[in-house]
Order: sequence, then C-alpha cells, then structure tokens
Amino acid sequence: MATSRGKFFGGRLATTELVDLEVVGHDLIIRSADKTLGRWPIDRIFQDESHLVSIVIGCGGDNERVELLDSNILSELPIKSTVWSYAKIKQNLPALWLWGLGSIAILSFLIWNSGLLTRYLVRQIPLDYERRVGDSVVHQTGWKPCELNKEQQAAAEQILDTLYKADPDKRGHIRLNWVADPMNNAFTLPGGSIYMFSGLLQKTESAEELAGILAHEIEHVERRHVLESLMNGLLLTALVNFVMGDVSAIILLDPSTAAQILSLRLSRDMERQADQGALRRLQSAGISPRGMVDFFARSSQDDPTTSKLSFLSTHPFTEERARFFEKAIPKDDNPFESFLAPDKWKALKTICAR
Amino acid sequence: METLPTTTTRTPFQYTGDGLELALLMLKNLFFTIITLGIYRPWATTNMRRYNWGHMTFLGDRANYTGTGGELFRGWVKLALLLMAGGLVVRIASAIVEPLALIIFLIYLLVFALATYSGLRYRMSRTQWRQIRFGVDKDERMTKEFIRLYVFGTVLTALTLGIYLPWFRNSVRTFLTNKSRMGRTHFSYDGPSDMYAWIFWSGFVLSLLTLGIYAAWWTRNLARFRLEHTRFMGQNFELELSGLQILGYYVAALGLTLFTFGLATPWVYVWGMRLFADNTFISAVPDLSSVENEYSDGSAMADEIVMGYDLDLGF
Repeated sequence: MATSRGKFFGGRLATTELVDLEVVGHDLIIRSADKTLGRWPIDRIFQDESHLVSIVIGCGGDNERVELLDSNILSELPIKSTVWSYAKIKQNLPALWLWGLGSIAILSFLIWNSGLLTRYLVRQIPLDYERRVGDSVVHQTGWKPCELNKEQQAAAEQILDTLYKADPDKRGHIRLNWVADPMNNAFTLPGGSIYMFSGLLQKTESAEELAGILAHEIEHVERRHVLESLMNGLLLTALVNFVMGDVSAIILLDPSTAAQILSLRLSRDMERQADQGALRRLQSAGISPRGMVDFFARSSQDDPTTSKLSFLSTHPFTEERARFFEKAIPKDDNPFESFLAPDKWKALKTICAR
Repeated sequence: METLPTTTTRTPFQYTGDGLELALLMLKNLFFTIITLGIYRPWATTNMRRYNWGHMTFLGDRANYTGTGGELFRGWVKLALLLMAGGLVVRIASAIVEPLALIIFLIYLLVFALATYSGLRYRMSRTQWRQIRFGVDKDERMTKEFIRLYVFGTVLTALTLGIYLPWFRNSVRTFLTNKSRMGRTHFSYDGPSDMYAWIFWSGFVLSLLTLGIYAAWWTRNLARFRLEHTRFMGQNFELELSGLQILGYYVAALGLTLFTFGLATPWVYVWGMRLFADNTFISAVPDLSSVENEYSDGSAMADEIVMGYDLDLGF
C-alpha cells in the first residue's frame, strides 16, 4: 500500500501539521503524530488549482487542505497534476514550439490584413469629422496661410480647376493653402487641406511641375491616405496598449495631435497609388507629365547633402517614379507649351513673396 | 510523526521562483493574450499572481492566490462599459457645460479612492497562507472616512504642488494597513508622517543631486521605514538590504534587459523578488495558532482600476 508525506492545513487556525497519507480502500487516511485527522472519500478529492506550484488537495466543500510533499500516492487519486514547474513544462515542449510558431503566424496574418480593417474604418468616418481633425492640426502648428491677390488667386484656381476637369463636382472640398516657409515640402491634412510651402514653390520651374505635385497631393486627399495612416497607427497603439494591459486604451487617443500627423510617413503603396492617380488626373486635364519628370531629374542632380528636397525625401524611390511619369509623355509633347499663361505662372511664383 | 516547528526568532520570507519557469509562463500568457486580442489578460494576470504567491513562502509554507481570471474579466468588462459610458457623457456634457472639468476631476477622484480601497480588499481577500484568508475591513463609515482622507490628500497635494505627497501617501498607508488583517488578526502601521516625509524629500533631493544614483538608497530607506512600522501581533517587519545591493540590482537589471532586448526580463524579475523577499524578516514569529480564519471579499473591477491606473501604492 503506497503512502505519502504531506502538510495538513485545518483551515480554521493558521497552523500546519506534517502528516502521513495512505489510501485504504476507497478513502484517503490522513494521520498526524497522535491521531487521525481525516478520512477523505477518494471520489470527492479534488486538486485546489489556486496552488500553481505545488499539489494541494481538498475534499468536498471543506476548507481543509493537504499539500503533497511527494508523488507516491498521486496515481491513486482522481487528479491530474497541473503544477507549473520546468519539469512539467519540458514534457510539453513540442506544444510550446507550436504555440510560438502559431503566434508568429497569427501576428503576421493580423499585420498583413490590418490595411483592410483600417480602410473599412476610414470609410465610416464622416468628412466633417476628418475636416475638424485637419483644422485642429493647423491650429496647433500655428501656420498662417499667405493672403493671395486677385491674380494669384485666379492662377491657383485655374490649376485646381484644370486638375479637376474630369470630376468637377469634387473640386469643392479641396482647400489649397500657401505658407511662407523655406521648407521644401507640401502637406496633405485630413479633410482636404493641402499646404504648399513657399520653399517648394520656389523650386518648381514650370506650371506643369507645380500641377504634378498638386495632382499627387490631391490623390492623397481623395484616397484619404492621411487618415488611413493615422488610423493604422492609432489602432496599433491601442492594440498594443490593450494587450499589454492599459485599460484606458479602449478610448482611442484624440487623433488631433499635430505632431502625430506631421510625422506620419505614408506607405510606398500609398505613394504609388497617388502617382498613378496623379498621372491619370494630369492626362485627363491635358497637362503634360513632363513637369514631374523635369522636377525629379533636377532634384536628383542637386547635391543630396545640402539641397535634397524633403518633398522627395519623404517620397522614396525617386528614380522609379521619374521613369513611371517619363513613359507616359506623349510623342507629340511640346516642352515649350504650357497649359497656364506665362503671366499667371509669374503671379503664382510671387505667392508668399515678401 | 511530528508537528512542523514554530519559531520565535527573527524569520525571513523567501521567494522560490525560477527564471525559466517564469519565462515560459510569461510566454504562454503573451501568446494567449495576443491571439485573443487581449481578452486573456485577466487570466494571464491571475496566472502570474498564482505563480508569485505560490513561490512566496514563510516558515516553509507557500501563500496562494484564490482569485480567478473570470472574476477579473467580469470586473474588466464592467470597467470598460463604465469608461465608455463615461467618455460618452463627458463628450456630450463638455459641449454644454464649460466648468465640467472640475466635476470630472471630482468624479475621477472618487473612483480612484474607492478603487484603491476596494482593489486592495480584492487582492487581500484572494490571498491565503495556511488556508487563512487575508482581508481588509470596509463598511460605510470607513469608506466615507477613506474618501475624505483621499480627496483631502489629493487636493492638498495639488495645492502644494506635490509637497504634501509623502504625508498623503503615509496617511493612506496608515488607514489601509490598520484595516488589513490575516484571518481576524489585524496588521497595524504607526509610521509618523513627518518622518516619512523627511525620508521622502531628502531622498528625492539627494537623488536629483547625484543624478539618480542615490535613488537606490532612497528606495531602501522608504521600504525599510514602511516595513519597520508595520506590525503583526506586536512584531514588526525588517528589511536588511543595503543601498549598494539595490543599486547593483538596478544597474544589472537595466543592462541585462537592454542588451537582451527584454528577453532577460523574467530572470531580472525573479532576481528582484528574491532580493527583496529574502531580505525581509519578521522580528519574531508570533503565536499563529491564535490566528482564526475569516471570510473576506472585494471588487475585481476596483482591482482592474488599480492595475490600469497604477494606484496600488506599493501594497
């Protein structure tokens, strides 16, 4: 007959006794130095799972417990040892490997498909809300758009009208702003606002170049790329916080933080989509894509350490993009002809000039 | 056959956890938490508590944690609903009432006060040693007293730009420790707030002056003060740990965690637990045969708030 050693906890006082355990017939007999402390029917014995690192058994609804100090009688008790110890874990190493690989597979799947979820969510956000987000960014940055005179206004309107020749109904929600800043960049903000910095304007040498850049930014607006990127980042942040235990992450962060939006980098896919859309827009407007090619070519000749355009530096794979536009130049393209009259181009170049 | 020895001499606690075991447990928790998109987190918390409690031994007997993942999950769901409803109310109301910020501040204060009290009550009620439940007393009068103490302390801390903080913390500790018990036998805390504040602020200034190096001694002094003034059946607790040991641990833990990209975290954690537990003593073991069991309860939702907002105040 197998016997074991154990520790008996009476459950009424904070005392403990070393006991001998013996299975006799259908009962577990618990004996201390001088008396029998209990006789537990085997079929009513259970393992107390609140003890993760040792085997502790109880019987029925009583508060009495016995901690087994060896495993001699374990096979005679109706319990499966679920002790968290390395010896136990080692038996399950294949399952552990499976978990590891499974988790990598599931994570990869989630990351791979996160774009679909984001795009769906972005479509559910009303344009009004998106515009408010964009406005609050401008409010936080303190950018003040330059005042345009009549000629400048007319020239800018003509470029936009031309770019929206195919879908004039959508023209209304674009708001083009010019900011006096030497930064060589253009920003698209949620809600349809495009911010063109005077530094970038000065780098352009033809209306076609400017129209190309604008067409590219317009595509980001139409496809709501900024909001999508923002949503992606927010979802990831919320997911990580949620998984790691920050309960407040279930209330999404206020997406109006300027720094968050301005530091966003749109994905290569988004840039490609914007270029493809921009080319279609230029073609349907009758504007030569040569402007974009010239702009890329001139930019790549600049000394990259001193004058690399940040418009391009945030837009990678420049050569590939230049080739994309170059292939689309029609054979009868006349480089000396422009869709914008010279006086209007001149007016545009003086925007934000002091 | 023999009865287990009892002792009247100075006796240490002991943490017997193992880095590899803990790493595997953490891996299991992480895996299930990720694949269930966070739903498993309450069960993961419970696993960790069961592991840590089970490896905390005193007089050769392990503590155990009887809380369940299900309890914490239900608490989490209630909290999530409350936060979502609260967020909605705030958004609607802020469009109507301008001085709403003050009302929200007071509501948050009230919630945090109740959560600190009930969260501790939950964790204690799920803690057992030798099958004796721990607990925290709570009734309407005590709750009102604690809310007054908490609101007064927070407001005064804000008005004094943080200077009152150690007095506030010590008064919360005094209140909560004096309400805590093992079975029916109460703990007590008699740390004078002025002395605690002196240790707190002098340590803070010295830590600043030494670019953080003194923080190890600061941590040690605060912990030692708290333990030495905590009593159980007339015996107080002691911490026998030098600032240099804590500094060594901090530096090594930081280095190991950084250079292994976090993989060493379980081992660093076990090392820290051992360092503190193995150097914590009770001055003499009292007659535990007079400690009787008592039923205890608490709110799992409050515990979620405590975890979510880091309100446990080192309990």
